[in-house]
Amino acid sequence: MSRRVIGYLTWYPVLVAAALVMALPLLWMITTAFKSNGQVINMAAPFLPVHWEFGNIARAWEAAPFARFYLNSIIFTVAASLGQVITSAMSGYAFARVDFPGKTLLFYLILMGLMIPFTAVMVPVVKLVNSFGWINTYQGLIVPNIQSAFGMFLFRQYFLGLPTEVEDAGRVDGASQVRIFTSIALPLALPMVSAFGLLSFLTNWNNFLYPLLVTSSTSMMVVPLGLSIFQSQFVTQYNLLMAGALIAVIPVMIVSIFAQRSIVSGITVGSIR
Amino acid sequence: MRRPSLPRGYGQRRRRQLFGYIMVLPTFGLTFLFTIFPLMETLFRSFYTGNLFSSSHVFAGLANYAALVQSGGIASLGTTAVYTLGFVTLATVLGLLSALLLNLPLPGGQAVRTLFIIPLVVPVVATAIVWVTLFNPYFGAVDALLRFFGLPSVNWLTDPRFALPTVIMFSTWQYLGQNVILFLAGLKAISREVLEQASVDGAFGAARFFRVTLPLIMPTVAVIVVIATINALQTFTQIYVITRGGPVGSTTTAAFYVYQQAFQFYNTGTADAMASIIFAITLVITVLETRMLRRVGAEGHA
Repeated sequence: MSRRVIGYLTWYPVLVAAALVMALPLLWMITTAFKSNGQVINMAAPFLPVHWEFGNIARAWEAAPFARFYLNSIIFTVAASLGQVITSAMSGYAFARVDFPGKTLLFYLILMGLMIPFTAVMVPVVKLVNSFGWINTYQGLIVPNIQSAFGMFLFRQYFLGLPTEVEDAGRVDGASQVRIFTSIALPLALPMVSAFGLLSFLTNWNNFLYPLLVTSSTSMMVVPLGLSIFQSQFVTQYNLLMAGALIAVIPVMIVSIFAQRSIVSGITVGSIR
Repeated sequence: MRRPSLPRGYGQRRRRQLFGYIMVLPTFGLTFLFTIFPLMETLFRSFYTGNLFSSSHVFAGLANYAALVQSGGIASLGTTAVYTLGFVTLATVLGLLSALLLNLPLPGGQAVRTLFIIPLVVPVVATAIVWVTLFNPYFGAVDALLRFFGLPSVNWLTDPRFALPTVIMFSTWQYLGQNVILFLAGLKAISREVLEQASVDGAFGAARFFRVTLPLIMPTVAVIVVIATINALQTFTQIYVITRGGPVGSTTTAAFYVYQQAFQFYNTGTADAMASIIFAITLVITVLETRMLRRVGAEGHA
């Protein structure tokens, strides 16, 4: 029993210290967002706001079209993530279940895409999107992102691990290929749909570099890009900057607290190579 | 009653193959158009002159690669190497230590785990902006702490010696949760019996960790090192928001250099040369690490 108590006394302070280090930047963001700018730049001022300036959030929200940024983020993220889940499930299923000439070659060509970092292709991709006349459009944001070599790979692994009996039974009953995929195989793959869907949603929601390259008009900007423009406009308005950061962080933070279990499983699934 | 039809015969097989092609087409077509074809273009155009607005085809030999030397391209590779080494080491070691801590049956552990997950899922741009004010040498919380302990203030973001470490600290804080989650999963997989047996054999604390836990968790370490290295090579957003590559180029990573050359100076030739080098490095690292992973994995399961 005493060893247990000693263990508690040793490790509990370490846990608290770790929690404080992880929480400090978030607490700093929240408290600074509600301070007056005068208090922010006063070295001797306390950590908590002397007077809570709740109006800062509204001022930041009006200083930049955050509502529009949110709308754009939702359109882009939902379309791109949905697209990634659909195309990945389709190709993953075909590579796991259907035989066709050239299958191995196509599989390895797509896997090659996994090894190509976006940095290595960003210049030609921007030129290509520009040549389609897609700069500052939703299709320019969405279309190049509705495929995922990684997603294909995850779904293929998942379908390979599923027994084929139910699908065979469907075939014996005369169901078409398409029907077997949509009403038998896909429902069986729901755990992967939700794990990969969440991973894909978070990746797209937080994507900054790609929107930076293909959108320049304020009305087409997603939240991360809009926030970076907001940053360059209010460089020394520290309380407004933190209010803007808070506007971008709060919804995802709340979701992440409730969807913690799914996020954990999504990240664990995402580490399979 | 309709007789069950089995997929036999020429027509059936053709239809089945066609189904396969249609299912694969969206992924393959888009991957080809937006990844494989652009890669070939990058590699090809790295040997030609050009800028963002023209697509002239004048062979330039290795001129674009030579231009990397004076324009800071080679230096950016060095910066990327330092960043990668610093980030991967910190994120792996601190990730494992945090996971060991969270694996203890301490009350409140779940809440602390949430604190590791939040940075991971919120936009990097937002937390990077927070970092800029947090590390402000005049009113930032970090320097306030330094002063509290009687230490001198540090110009974190304007001193070329400290800017890169500050960005490394940011990335470690932002992405630590991913490693913690993976290590926790790895630790849960180590069966209680193995650990109890080790205790019976007289291995406790540090000895048990180094003789039993660490060897068993090595496959997870390998996975984490691979993922962290490949992510580190792509680092862009935090550099863009926190330092814009400065001061005096001290945080210009290879990825940021490509962006600068192409979209700020319009030297797409130089950008293509650097992009080709990034691809080559990623390829070599992926191949090497896949081999290492396989070896560690085989040992782990043995």
